Amino acid sequence: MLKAEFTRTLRDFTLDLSFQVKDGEILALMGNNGSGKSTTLNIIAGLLAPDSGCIRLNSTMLCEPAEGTHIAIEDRRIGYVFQNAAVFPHLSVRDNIAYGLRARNISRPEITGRVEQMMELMHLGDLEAVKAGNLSGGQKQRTALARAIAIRPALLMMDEPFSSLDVESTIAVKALTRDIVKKMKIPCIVVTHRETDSREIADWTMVISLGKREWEGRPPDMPRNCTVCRCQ
Amino acid sequence: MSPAVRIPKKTRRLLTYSIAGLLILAVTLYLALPVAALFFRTTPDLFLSSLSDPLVVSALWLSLTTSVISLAIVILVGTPFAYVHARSSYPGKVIVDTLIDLPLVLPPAVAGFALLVLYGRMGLLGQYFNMLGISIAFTTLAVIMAQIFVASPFYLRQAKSLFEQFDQSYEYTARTLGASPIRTFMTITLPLTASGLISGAVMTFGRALGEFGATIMFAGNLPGVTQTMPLAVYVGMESNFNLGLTISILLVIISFLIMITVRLVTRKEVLHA
Repeated sequence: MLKAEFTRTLRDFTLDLSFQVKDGEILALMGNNGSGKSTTLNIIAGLLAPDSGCIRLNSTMLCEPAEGTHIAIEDRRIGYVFQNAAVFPHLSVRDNIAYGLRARNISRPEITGRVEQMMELMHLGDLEAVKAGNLSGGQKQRTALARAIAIRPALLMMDEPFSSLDVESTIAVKALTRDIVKKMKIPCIVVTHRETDSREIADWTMVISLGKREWEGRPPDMPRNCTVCRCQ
Repeated sequence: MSPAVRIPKKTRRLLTYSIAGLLILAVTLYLALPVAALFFRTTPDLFLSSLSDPLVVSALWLSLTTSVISLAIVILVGTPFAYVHARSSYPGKVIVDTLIDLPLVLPPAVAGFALLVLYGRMGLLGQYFNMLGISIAFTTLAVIMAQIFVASPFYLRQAKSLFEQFDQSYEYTARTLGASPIRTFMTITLPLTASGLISGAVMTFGRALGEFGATIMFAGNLPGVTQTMPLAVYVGMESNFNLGLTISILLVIISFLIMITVRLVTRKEVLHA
């Protein structure tokens, strides 16, 4: 389970959020551009530090400025898929998926096993030797997801994962994401600004505006008169 | 008032093409003729026989070794420097930025003179080195220092701009996957900026190889010790015209090879993009 409660002063407003995501649950983080969605993910990942508060993932305190706690990015066990997928273009699909496993000094036979498993799960088998720079948008997103999942993260975060995908790829990536989160029983945060994404993938939705929670609840309950929620 | 004279469309087009053609021809000839003249003034036999002259061999050897050492130092120190400089903000960053660019506009003779004022036997720092029995000016070390001072901006500017423009989501992803900052730099940042860094390095090597003004001021012109190829051309022009010609042709060939390398590397970069 992820429990986050933090503040961070940004240029135009203060990001002040408190929320939790249970194991096997997907939280859709919604809001207009510049509302603080990606910053929230970056704070949880450790790329940015909060000014105050604390972030706890299962029994591990990731960050608590008052106590001087700040676990290094590489030690947080967070699978983070960026908006542009950020697949390493100079590496093959196989090497992309194996990257985190090699960085964590996992044994070779285990790396091979996990990579095979990921490629099968993400339907990437026939692309294993292809340089990731040559993949289509959907293939890149699936590779990025496979790479993030391969390290067996304790939390999965995805920043606008469907924004550059065609309809077919969007359906496929959404189904895979839901499937993985439920199977692995890990919390997941998906940043999106489309209500349809929230309805189709999330168990819970939180809408933020200028760093503050505007609304939260089950996706079908999203109020029709909420202008911030209807931001697509 | 008389009506405006209308030039027929066909004539206008012919005129435009003629002016464009003349411009291209003029610029090409202006750049190519001096280089071509070098080749017209010698024969293959004369060129090949001059190649084994001790003056040519020692100048060629000195130029290549000092340029390679200068380049190695620039890459080893300049790459991490450029990365840290690009990724951090610190007081006086603008001044450092200006200093990086300064050698590009500073006359090389002034650069050499400045190095002499600092590191010469009676120089601000040189006098202390001298007390320790270390002399820098008029040695091969001075050649390398002059080359680094004059040529390093070509690499530093390129590396700095590459690291500034590099999409950091690749690095962030690597870090969240468990890679340390050094591993991230070595396996992600460096390979993805390599072609740009190589073209910067090749330009630096070329500039170091052609360095003249700073070298003659700070290192002097001692055959086998500080007399690099451009200095040997200068000496050759006064004493043995053919030797000057041979070394000049060698430098032209090396310069062409450098430019071709840069073209090939940057073309590869475009194809990757």
